[in-house]
Amino acid sequence: MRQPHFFDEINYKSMRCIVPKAQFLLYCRMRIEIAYKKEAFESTAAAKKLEQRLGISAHVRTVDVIIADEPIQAETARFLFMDPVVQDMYYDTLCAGAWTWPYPWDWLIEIAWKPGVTDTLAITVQQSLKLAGIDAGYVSTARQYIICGKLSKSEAEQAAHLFYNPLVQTALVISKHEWDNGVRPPDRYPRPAVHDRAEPELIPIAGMNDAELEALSRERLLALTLPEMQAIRNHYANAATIAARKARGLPQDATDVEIEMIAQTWSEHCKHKIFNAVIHYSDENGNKTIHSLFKTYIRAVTEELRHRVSFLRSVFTDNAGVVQFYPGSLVCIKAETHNSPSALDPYGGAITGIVGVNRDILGTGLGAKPIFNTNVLCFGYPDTPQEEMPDGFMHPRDIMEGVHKGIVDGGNQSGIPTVAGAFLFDESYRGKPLVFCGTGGILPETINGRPSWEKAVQPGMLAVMLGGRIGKDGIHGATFSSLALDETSPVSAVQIGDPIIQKRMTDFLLEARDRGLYEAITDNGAGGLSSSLGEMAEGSGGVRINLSACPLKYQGLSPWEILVSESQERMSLAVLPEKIEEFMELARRRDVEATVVGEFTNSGYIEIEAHEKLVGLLPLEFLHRGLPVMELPARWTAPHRPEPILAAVRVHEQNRNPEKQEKQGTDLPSENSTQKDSPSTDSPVVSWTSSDTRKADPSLANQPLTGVPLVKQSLADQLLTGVPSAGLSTCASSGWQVVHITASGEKRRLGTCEEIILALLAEPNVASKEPLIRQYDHEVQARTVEKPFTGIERDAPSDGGVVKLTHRSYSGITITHGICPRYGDTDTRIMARMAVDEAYRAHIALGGTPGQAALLDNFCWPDPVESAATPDGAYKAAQLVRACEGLKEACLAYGLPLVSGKDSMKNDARSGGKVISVRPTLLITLVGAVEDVRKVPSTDFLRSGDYIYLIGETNGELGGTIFERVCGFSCGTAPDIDFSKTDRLYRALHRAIQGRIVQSCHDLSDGGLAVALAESCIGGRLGCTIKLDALTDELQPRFDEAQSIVRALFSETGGRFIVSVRREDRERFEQTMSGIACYHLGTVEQSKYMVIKYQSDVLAHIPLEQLVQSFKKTFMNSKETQASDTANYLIVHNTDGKEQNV
Amino acid sequence: MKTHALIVTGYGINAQDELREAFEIAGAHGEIEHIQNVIEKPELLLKADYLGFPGGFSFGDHLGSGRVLANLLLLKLRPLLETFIEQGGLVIGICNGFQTLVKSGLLPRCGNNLGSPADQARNRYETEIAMTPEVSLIHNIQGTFLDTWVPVEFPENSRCVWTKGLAPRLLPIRHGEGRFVADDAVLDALERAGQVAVRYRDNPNGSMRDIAGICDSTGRVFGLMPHPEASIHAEVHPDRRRNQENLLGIDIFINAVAYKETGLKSCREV
Repeated sequence: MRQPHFFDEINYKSMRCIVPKAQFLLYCRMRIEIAYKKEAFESTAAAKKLEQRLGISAHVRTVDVIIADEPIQAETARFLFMDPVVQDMYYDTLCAGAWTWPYPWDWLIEIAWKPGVTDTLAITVQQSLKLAGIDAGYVSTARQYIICGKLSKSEAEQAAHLFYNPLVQTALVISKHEWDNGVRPPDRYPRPAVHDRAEPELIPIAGMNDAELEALSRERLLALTLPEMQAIRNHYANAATIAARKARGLPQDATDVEIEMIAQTWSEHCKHKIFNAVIHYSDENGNKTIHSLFKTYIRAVTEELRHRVSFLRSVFTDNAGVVQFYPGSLVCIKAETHNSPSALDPYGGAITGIVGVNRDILGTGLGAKPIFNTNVLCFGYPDTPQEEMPDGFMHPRDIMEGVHKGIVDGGNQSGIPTVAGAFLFDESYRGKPLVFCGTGGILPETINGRPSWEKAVQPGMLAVMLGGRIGKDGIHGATFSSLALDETSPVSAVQIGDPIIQKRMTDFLLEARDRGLYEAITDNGAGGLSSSLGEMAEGSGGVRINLSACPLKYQGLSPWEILVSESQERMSLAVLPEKIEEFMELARRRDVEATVVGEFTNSGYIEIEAHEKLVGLLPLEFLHRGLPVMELPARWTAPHRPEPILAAVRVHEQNRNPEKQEKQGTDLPSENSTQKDSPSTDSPVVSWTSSDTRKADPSLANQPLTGVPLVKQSLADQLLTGVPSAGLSTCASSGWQVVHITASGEKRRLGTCEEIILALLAEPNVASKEPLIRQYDHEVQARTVEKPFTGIERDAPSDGGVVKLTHRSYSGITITHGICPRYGDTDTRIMARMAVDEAYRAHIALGGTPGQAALLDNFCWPDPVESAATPDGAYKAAQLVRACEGLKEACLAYGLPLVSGKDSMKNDARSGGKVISVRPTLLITLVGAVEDVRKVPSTDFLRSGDYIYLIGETNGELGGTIFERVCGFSCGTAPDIDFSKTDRLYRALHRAIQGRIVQSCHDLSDGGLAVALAESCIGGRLGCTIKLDALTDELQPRFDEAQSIVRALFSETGGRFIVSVRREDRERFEQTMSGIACYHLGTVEQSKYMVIKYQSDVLAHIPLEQLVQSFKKTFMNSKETQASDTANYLIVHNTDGKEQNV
Repeated sequence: MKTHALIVTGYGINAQDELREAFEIAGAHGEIEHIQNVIEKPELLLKADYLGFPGGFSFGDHLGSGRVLANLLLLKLRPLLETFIEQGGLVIGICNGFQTLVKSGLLPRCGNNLGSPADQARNRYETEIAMTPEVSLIHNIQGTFLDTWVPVEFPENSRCVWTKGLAPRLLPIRHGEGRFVADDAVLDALERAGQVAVRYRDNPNGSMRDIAGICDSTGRVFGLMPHPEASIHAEVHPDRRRNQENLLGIDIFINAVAYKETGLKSCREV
């Protein structure tokens, strides 16, 4: 233990008052419990969860338990740990034994951490004790939930399961009866076993046959293939290797340290073997061989664009991509996935994902300051029936809850705003969730006169490990993420990050950086020291690592475990010997642990020592370039996805008033037309005669709705209360029905246009996630201009985030995403093109400068290696090839370089012979320039009377759209994009935004025109009247009139926007957009209705409040909605706006 | 001559940069120092006119928000802080800074006027060795963190020098533990003495009597849950497109600087 160093003389005097020496040893106890005095002070979260998930109504008191080895005096404990206003401390007794609440308790559940798992509360307790100069030895913590409610034993056990994850925690359930019979929680919990000093093991790999090699890979969780294992064997069998080892006193046999280091370095996670493989690809046009997808498609894009864009600084070489949009400062960006750990321990996995990618930024160049986080989270539908879940896997609802909390804690506690992101729901994410965590950082252009983005590791520099101590956490994380998930996945692969320890390290690092105290830095992520020092050694030409110098959390780690452990909050640095003293002194004063663990050399070797003995000797050349190249077959056959016939038809209804038919035909757009066109009274009966589909069909009127889960039970209701929702309240129906005519000619009524629009808004992928997203701090650092929600009540979705780079300038950056996995069902090439477009068009919608943007690619694929376990691997590999092709096409078309990326290639979950593979998923993250943040438009309509335009051509595709999801059957090919038109369009729209002509701008994505329009109305709390005729005309060559209507409303063709413009700017706007597909659809209205017309008829007429209700109900806790009356509501209501204009 | 603001950081505090920016925009000179540096060099504080405790998650909010940082203040800085306040220094604690001021008993310090025997007994130990916590900030009633902008108002009878004469406005909140709680006697005393400085118009977290911020009996020590330092530039206001002139949080700092500068001027005149 290092000595506390807080005391100067004066303060030591005040200390003495607090801890009078005489009393110090008199009152001691190892177990201290702290609980809120009365139920009024208790957070109701636990009780709420009980009620929502188990339907049990009970009072729950939570108690924090601190268990220390050494005595802590009672008064000291009270002073240090307790809030006297609201809490009681139980010192001589237990809370459950000295019960003070008005109702008796029935069950006590105590949750404790398993040995070796990071216990962040215990760390803070230690900190607090240290401040007071007290050493209480080993400290652990637990949490009790004391339940006042009549639960059966099995209910109590179910309740315990709501509060703990068996992977990392233990739970103890004690009934009042058992308590009365003397059962008590333990005085102490097991702690990590302390083993004797472990010696490295020798592995006679040079003499192994293939079967033995495969067994070795399997048993040690190396995740290496046979050719890779053979390459290792050949290295050890090589005469030169034997001689070099002999000269250094090493046997021919490999040490486990060496084998583990090779496995980490060669893991899919670190070496991207599939992206560097030779791929033999075939499709309808023949065969081709691709030598490395990375070189052919990813790096090629950036190389080709290098002369076209001027902002690239460091790409693909560092921890993050580095670009420069403005003089003086550089922006770094990186996104990672943390899928497998999040599947096992959602909270720990997600928090580690966030703090891990923060470290990537911290380790970029000479160390950048994180300024924003992003996250894109992909789960199974939270309302998936339990029986559809494979055994051994967590329910999506539980994964989502844990991951979300991890993101909340990880981002918020780090003081980094979460400015952009998304939730995606798809049944293919039931096995493995995808957890994408991204971070952006800022670097001054130069630091102490040096270019900030360059690192310089020279021989003679000291290798320093900074941050937390090493334990068994996260051992085999890198290799584990390269394996499919199954029931036997290793527990040690889970680690839990502590954002506060990392924050302290971050503050120290930025201070040390500006004082020039180190020369190079990188993060310790996957593979731990083995990976970080292994990479840095490439700079100098070698490194000597002394494992015995590494500080450990507990004794008994084998040397190989020390080398590959992924214990969190650690960075590796290169420090000049003459600066080491100053560096260590600052670290000591900032309370950050720093240790010299080795020295960089130019020996060409990685030399690993433990207990003053050489235990590993690996040539850099072999380690980094000895990996055999993988060969993969890839076969593409285009899926057959016929276009369905979907028609909008007018259904006869008896109660129409025929007298008013003449009033139809009002020219649109017109103001205040909604009332007189109110469809329940005014709409005429239309009889079509031209074709089957267009004929009004009275037989459909009374047919039950089929095929459409229109009244999807509110997820929030299921999730949180278990009470079925009231469902979709009926709105005044216009009588227009959407009908599906199946291949056999059967007509199925899908619902009215209104019902479908409302169902789209309530679909979990579209529905407002506001209650979840408002738990992210998106404004710390105070530079967030465009926030996740916009509009008069701040509840309409934004297209992305915009942050200012510095407080005193108006220049900023956009952060947007593109991700559309379901388009990949048609063709992953289209999916990739659309993902790039989605991110880029959001950038444009936010006022971003065309061509001033850089992209990150994150591929999450199912296993694309053909094998007995994955018989369709060649198709998945072909999907990967095509996605890369699409990505390259889109990037080159828009001039957007790729600056960093990551791939995760084994996103399959296996259980009991069942496999759930994720849909091939490509996330595009964009960071771009906004010259003047004051001109950023938002998605919400600003004032009535403004004209509404649709910009961009509509092609009518419905495949993979939200409409398809709601329908539940295949809707043909996916939306695509014509880059030759959109690039011009984006530049024109940008000019209009720069000229301040555009009042609002919303890009069309999930749900197409209907959803975008509804969202703009919700944001402004304004109605609108639009007419679809221009779109249906555009679609008519390919689809008949009735089909055109459906496709105009719900297609998700790329490259489109809804824009509102003041009347007086109409001419200026249309001039700016001349030569661009730009349709004047209608007008923003003061009336509170969204009205969509076709010719003279009203297709949909939906009250604003119904749009709002459908958009919000899915994730809104109904209890909280009720609570709004008592001012405890999550969302602030300003219905009449009067409170805002204060 | 510019007045001088000292803003502390370290241990998980994270909103120090924008707090300095707020002081600078308001016309003061702002300086960020690690708390450890202030402990080592008390003159850093003694030469300052304002002391700022920014938002953040000091020590991870484990053991209760602001709790451990409050311990640190009491153990290492208490006499210094008392001297600073007695000599007319202005203190602001925002969010986690407010929690820290409350947990350390620096706010609201209405204790001696209370006189309730129960309170006296309860705090017997602390009154002897530490400042007495009288109020607390606990988990939001909905149990979750919340980031949004809320309308707040500034009671006219408040003695707080930071909020004097300010009109109601929107301010951002970003906290999980912002529910203001105290005994009725304490709440009554606070209201009577004009120590309630900020109130929510639409209570977002279950705070008793809608209290969003309080000051001490001098009116110079001020803490609040909303983040005025995150509303110093018009372009980050959520209504930036709707209204030409939105009222900003910066006015709170302008008030403080005006108070100090007037005070300085009168001192110099004397």
